Amino acid sequence: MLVAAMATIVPLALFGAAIAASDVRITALDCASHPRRIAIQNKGDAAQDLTGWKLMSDKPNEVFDLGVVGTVEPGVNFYVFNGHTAPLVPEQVGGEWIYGWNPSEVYDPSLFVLDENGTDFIRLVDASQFPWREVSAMPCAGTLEIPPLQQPATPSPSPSNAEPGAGGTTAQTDGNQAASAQTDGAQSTGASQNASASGSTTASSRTGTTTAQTGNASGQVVGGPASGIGVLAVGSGRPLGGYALPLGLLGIVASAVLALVGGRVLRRALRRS
Amino acid sequence: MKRIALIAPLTGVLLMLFGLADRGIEVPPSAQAADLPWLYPASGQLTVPGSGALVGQSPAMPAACTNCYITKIVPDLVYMNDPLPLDNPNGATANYNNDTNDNVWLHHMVLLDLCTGSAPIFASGNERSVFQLPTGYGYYSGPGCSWIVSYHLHNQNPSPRNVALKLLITYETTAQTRVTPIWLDMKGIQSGSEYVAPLGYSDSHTGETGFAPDYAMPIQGRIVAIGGHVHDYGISVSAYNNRLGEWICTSKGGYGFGSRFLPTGGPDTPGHPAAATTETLNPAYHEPGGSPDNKYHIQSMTPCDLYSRNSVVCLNDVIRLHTQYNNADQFPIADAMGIMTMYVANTSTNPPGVPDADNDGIFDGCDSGDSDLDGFSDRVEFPVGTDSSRKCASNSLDDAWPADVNNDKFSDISDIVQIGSSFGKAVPPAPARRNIAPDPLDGFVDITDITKIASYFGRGCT
Repeated sequence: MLVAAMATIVPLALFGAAIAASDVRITALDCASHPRRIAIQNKGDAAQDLTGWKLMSDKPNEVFDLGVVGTVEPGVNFYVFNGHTAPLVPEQVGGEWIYGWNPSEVYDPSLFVLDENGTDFIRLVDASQFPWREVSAMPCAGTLEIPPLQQPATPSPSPSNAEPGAGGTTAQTDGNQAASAQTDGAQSTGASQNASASGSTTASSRTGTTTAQTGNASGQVVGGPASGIGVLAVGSGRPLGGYALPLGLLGIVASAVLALVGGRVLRRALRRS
Repeated sequence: MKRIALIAPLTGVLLMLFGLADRGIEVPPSAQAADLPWLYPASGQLTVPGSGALVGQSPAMPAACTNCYITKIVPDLVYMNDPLPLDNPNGATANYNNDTNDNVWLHHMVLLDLCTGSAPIFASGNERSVFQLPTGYGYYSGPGCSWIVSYHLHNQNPSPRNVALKLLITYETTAQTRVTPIWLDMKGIQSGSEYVAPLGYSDSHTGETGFAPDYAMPIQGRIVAIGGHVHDYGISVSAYNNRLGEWICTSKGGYGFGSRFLPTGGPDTPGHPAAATTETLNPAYHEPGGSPDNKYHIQSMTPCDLYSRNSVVCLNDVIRLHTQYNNADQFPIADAMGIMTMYVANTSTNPPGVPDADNDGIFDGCDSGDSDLDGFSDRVEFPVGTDSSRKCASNSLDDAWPADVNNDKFSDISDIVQIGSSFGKAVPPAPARRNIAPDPLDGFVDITDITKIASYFGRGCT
């Protein structure tokens, strides 16, 4: 019981560190065309290694591992195209790279990870170390609110592609992330989503086409504002920036309560024994 | 069939626009034409899911007519059994239509003829350009022939829409000079036809890395119609004949005035126009929404002027396709295209439109031989407009000998003066009759022409 309580407390206490700034930003998003399109730029003065970085959409299995991009030089743009007519292998056009996320020459709407459905979005996450940092996000047209980033339950950084066997990454084929990842990944992620509240929720499936995202075990309170908050100028949803402080305080209070309750339960159990 | 099944659905192909091009060709008389609507599906409808796409191909279907000559095709995407029959009655054109409840559009359809090895014989993008052959020419649809149509439709409305592909076919039952479609494609139809155009201005051509090889003409003959296709932000697509060193056709995109997709930035040289064309907005191509509300999608492609010299294609001629885009979007264009289709009347199917003076099987426009021994090869005489089979004029209107410009049976100062009057000019606008050298011709009246005619100075013909 104590272990369970502590496992719950750790991610809660770390919540406040989830906010981060970065010069690598999502600069444009298209959630309607074939393919869906994401533009990313390094707006800073220094190169940025994207090993362990991810693009994540609204569903847990919708993860694109940006390790394939490598290091992005200052001022450089690159693009991730998704679904129908996305490039099957990374393609350099006009000096800029385009990567395919669930690419397919054949139209299959299930391969799209982005839609103008009122809830969809994309976020850029530095998952190279724990806790993960959401560094940029952008909503699809019509989306009014981006929910906070869910941290993985286990305090481990996202593995790179060179570290097989770890969870939370997307397998890739020739630098692009395969169409079958979506389906297979959903299954793997399903296992991850159903993990117990113990926090040991990291799913790992390196079958070559599997996407798995960690986290979201019940009882966790995780989150973090997106750098794309400013885009969300309209709508009835709570401004995302407002979540940080209240949730952080709430987390601390909740942790203390849970620790007290857990301690009492543990004490009673010891007395009975 | 496997190949069809593979190509048709995968191919993000398209094509369109076919310009008229009949200048001074003798053609058989035209019979009365008949019009016939050809629909797919023949009954029922295609349902395009809301905010989605529909990509597929038909089964083999009877051709619109058989043992007939198709002379014109008017493509369209029309509503059929739509859930909103009052707004979208059967047969009404489906497009953006400046209506948020509309927004069903034709990414492309490609018509394949199973009698010609499933070759594409016609295609249309959303511009829906009309295919029109000159009088006397027709695409022959043989007995028992079947067609397959592959299609890619988009619906930007949240609700499903029901549509059908429509081709209004005009055909003749009497013999016409047959044409063969030749498909030219920046990426290649087997590769899906689509390529990625970067941000900003780009000029791409076949033969460069990442694109299809230049095309080697599989037949000889005369191009009687040609058309091009590009997507939004496309300036132009052009075909260049390496043998001639000349542009065959430059087709420019047409956009409603004020369109956000209207591209400029070309160098304004032959084959590379400075900008696409602006024209009166066709409301069917207005996608409402955005700020400013100027989503006027590409709505036409310009036709081409073909003349005697650039319309001639010879076996193994190397044709290079160039496409210009100026992409003002925030993303590279994932489905850029540059396609042209030419319709060639060739000697193997019907000699009358494409003369062969010495009957050696090589079309005069391609024959380096001199059938009438007048000092000028057949391939020079054909575009010049003189008779390849006779060396001397019979009257002042009888163009027979290139060195005798005024047809007085002598080559003298009067002929040199006529050529000299166009000195330094390209053909056209200079008359083709004044460009007689070198061999093959260079499309320019200059010192080579003066030198050539001077070599016959004072000579007569009989």
